[in-house]
Amino acid sequence: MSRHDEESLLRWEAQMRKGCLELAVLAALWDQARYGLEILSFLEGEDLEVGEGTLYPLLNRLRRDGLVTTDWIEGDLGHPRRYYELTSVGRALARSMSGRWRAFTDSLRSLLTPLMKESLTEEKTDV
Amino acid sequence: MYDSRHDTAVAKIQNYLAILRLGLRGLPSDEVDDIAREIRSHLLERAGDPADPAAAAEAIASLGRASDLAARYRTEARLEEARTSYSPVALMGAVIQWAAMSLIGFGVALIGLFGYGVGGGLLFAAALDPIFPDRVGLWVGPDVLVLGTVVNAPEASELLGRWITPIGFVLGLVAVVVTSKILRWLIARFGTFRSRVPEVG
Repeated sequence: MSRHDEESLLRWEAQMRKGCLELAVLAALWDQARYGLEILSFLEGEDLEVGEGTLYPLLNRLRRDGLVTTDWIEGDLGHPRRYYELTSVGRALARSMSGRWRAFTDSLRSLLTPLMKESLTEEKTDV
Repeated sequence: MYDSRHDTAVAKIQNYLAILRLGLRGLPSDEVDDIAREIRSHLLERAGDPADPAAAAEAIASLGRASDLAARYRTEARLEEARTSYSPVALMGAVIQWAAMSLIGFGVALIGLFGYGVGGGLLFAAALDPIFPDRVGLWVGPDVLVLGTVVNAPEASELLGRWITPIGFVLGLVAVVVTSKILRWLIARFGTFRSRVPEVG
């Protein structure tokens, strides 16, 4: 793959990830309240790395939109951690987004089946 | 036992927070305090206990420049306010900041500048005509087609006369209002990080 193609691919991937980020963050809060660093490492564990400078403004916006509430809880190091928790509105939205996401990826998956077959054979002959 | 390295690390963090706070001016003060406290907590936790200067520097690098971080917080806030505002100042303020961050934002800024420029020009002509009637108008002649404000009137007949002021005023207002509506729509449609249902094609 040429360097130009690689850059285009990376740009597209960045856009795609950006579009899914909100859903990923809401999902990270589904089972339990978490604070910033916890959300970052949780998503990293799921192979969904988020830029630290991107996460915090996003969390702030989610709070402003009423999708999450925050609570300051003292950490072991003596400085407070800001924990985020989904509100009922946030849970409902996360469910809806998740449903649409699954419907979309199901459609996309069937659309991509012929591509996947072809690209597998191409990779074998690709330099 | 905390030593001077710890102090150095903490100083780096304090410095970062000071720049961040500066960039957040304009947001509600309790929100600014909460943001600063959270980022401080994030950086201190990353810097370790006792705080290590190298770790602190790395944590700061991962977060990105304080002014950029502040800009991201503000863009979200401003775009939200702009969505409910009709003020050209509020709208263009939000759009200009958006323009610095994305190509779409830049395009929207151009649209805003054009629309408000046209509206402003029309309003200006409307205001100027009673004062300098010879310098404002629509001149049409064999080699002349001029609509606007001039220093020397062209050699042609001026068509609008005293209608310039009411027409210019109305059209100018229409241009400003239409531009505001367009900007609001563009902001709502393209201006947030909110993920939408992905559209194929």
